[in-house]
Amino acid sequence: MSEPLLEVRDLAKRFPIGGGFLSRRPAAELRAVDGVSFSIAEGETLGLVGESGCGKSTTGKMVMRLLAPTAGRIAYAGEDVAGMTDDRTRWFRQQVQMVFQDPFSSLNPRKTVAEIVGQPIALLGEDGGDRRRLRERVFELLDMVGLDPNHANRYPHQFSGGQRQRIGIARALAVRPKLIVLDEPVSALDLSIQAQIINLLTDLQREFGLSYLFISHDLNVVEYLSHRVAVMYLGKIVEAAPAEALFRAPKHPYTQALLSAVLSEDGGSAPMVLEGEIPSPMAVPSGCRFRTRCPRAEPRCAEVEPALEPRAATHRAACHFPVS
Amino acid sequence: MTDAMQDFSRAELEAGRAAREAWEARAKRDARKPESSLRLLWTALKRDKLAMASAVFLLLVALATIFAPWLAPYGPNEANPSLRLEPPLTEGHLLGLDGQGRDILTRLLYGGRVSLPIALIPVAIATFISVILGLIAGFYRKGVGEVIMRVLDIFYAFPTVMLAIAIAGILGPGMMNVMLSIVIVLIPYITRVVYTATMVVSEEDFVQAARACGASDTRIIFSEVLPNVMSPVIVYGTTTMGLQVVFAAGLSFLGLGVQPPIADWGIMTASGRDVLSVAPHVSTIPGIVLLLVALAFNLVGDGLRDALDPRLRL
Repeated sequence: MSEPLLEVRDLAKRFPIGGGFLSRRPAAELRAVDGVSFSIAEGETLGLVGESGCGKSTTGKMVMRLLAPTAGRIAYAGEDVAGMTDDRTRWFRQQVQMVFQDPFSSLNPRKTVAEIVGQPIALLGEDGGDRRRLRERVFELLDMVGLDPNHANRYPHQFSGGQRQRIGIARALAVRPKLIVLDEPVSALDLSIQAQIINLLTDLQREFGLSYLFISHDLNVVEYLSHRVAVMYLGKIVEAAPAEALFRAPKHPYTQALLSAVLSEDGGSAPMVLEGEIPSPMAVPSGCRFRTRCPRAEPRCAEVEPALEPRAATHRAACHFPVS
Repeated sequence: MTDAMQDFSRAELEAGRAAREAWEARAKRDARKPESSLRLLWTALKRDKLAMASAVFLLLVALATIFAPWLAPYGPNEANPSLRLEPPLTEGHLLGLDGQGRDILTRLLYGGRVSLPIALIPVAIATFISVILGLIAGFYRKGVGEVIMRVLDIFYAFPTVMLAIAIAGILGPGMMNVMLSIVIVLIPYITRVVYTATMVVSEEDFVQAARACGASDTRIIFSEVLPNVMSPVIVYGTTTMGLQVVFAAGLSFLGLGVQPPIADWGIMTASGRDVLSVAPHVSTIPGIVLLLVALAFNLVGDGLRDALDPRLRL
């Protein structure tokens, strides 16, 4: 086992709610991410799945250092990112890039495609000042993601959603990163376009040995793209396993419910419908956070929080009464 | 380790060069120029006939006032008492004469040299200050932003006209003081426009994307946010210019602005007050000019608002 490229330990993000201009004390606390640990090896894709509001995007932002964690540790290539000097931060930014969910919001409407794709190179690349080389690199990148380099001088509004997402991917690739955080990169796109973008992402991964942190709520997409999958519920990972094992034999009742909702289309088993809403992250249930909606819940679940423990060699689930 | 660009492989450079050559060949063929925002704006604005007509009108007014000394048939204070209060179309006096027997057309031309800059310069200065304040307040919403906006809220509490009159009253009459009071009165309003736009733009993902590339706050504010907040500011600034021309004239009308005998549209309107029943043209003609100029600014502002809307561009 080599050292993982990215290692996240007990990562937490709590947002104070309320508290105004003069009062310093917040009225409540929102636990968006509540102690999350995972690692990503070189060339590997980790799928991070969960319903909206479960903290998966917040986790992605913390990995990108766009948000400061409340607690926990993020290490990239064995180096704690919190302790990085400006120089190392610059290196980190070059190593880790991001593709955003909304292809409309993620491209500045006032900039040309060449300016957008060239921005990371101009800011992080050693050759940012060499205009001719920058231009060549931009054309090469556009070509790489399947766009016509002829369109480099156009503005984002002249492209479709799928093309815009390709521009976003070209921007992320510009400085040759090793790890790309993909925050729901296809959920804003049509189904046919989704497939194209996913194929593009797989091709790029193979070609450049990229690692992906793939954040999504769409299990079909996750299954297709991920090597390993971590399922998040209310700020915590409840199950983590290699994709194949997780989809074949989920151990956590929540994962089981998620999967049954997807697979029911095939006419297999009846979907397992979860009762109620996802609880507020401002009032997380005691013990197991899933117990309020869990069909297998017992008194013990309200008292002791289950740890994320191995159920098989590489399969971990946080449940007192796992599905066998 | 940090060299993102150094380790080009030969094949990659070749690929880049090939792509560039293909691009240049194609670019030559269809001779497509990058479409600048200004060009797109112009194309959209051209379609709006009313706004274009207003812009042309304002341009003519501006040129006429600039070249007043050459265009005006008389001197601004040249009086012919025998013809006082004569109506428009009097021989040699197209728009008639005022109470002191001065040619109204001449004074209108000269008056624009006071009435237009006294309104437009403060709008420009206030916009500049407000853009900076609004960007900072909208970007750093907590802390600095909160302080800026709360201080401006105090100004909001006063009715605009009252505040301007108070400021002009304290500072005393005069062109500089009128301009200063307009600047102070306008800043809270324009700042709020910039602040709101900045708040919206700062939430966009492309700001996060720039941050992920290690862009500094200053760079993000000026190169990512600023170009996206300029549209509402330009529209607001243009629209308010018309209002400020009337407002500055109003201060002069009240005796707080420019002092007679200097020609100014506000003073001219005021001077006809006493003779309104016998010679209504003395007041109404400068009043109509004020109205038309204000209206034209508004129409240009509306036209710009439509032209700057990205949904209407393609």
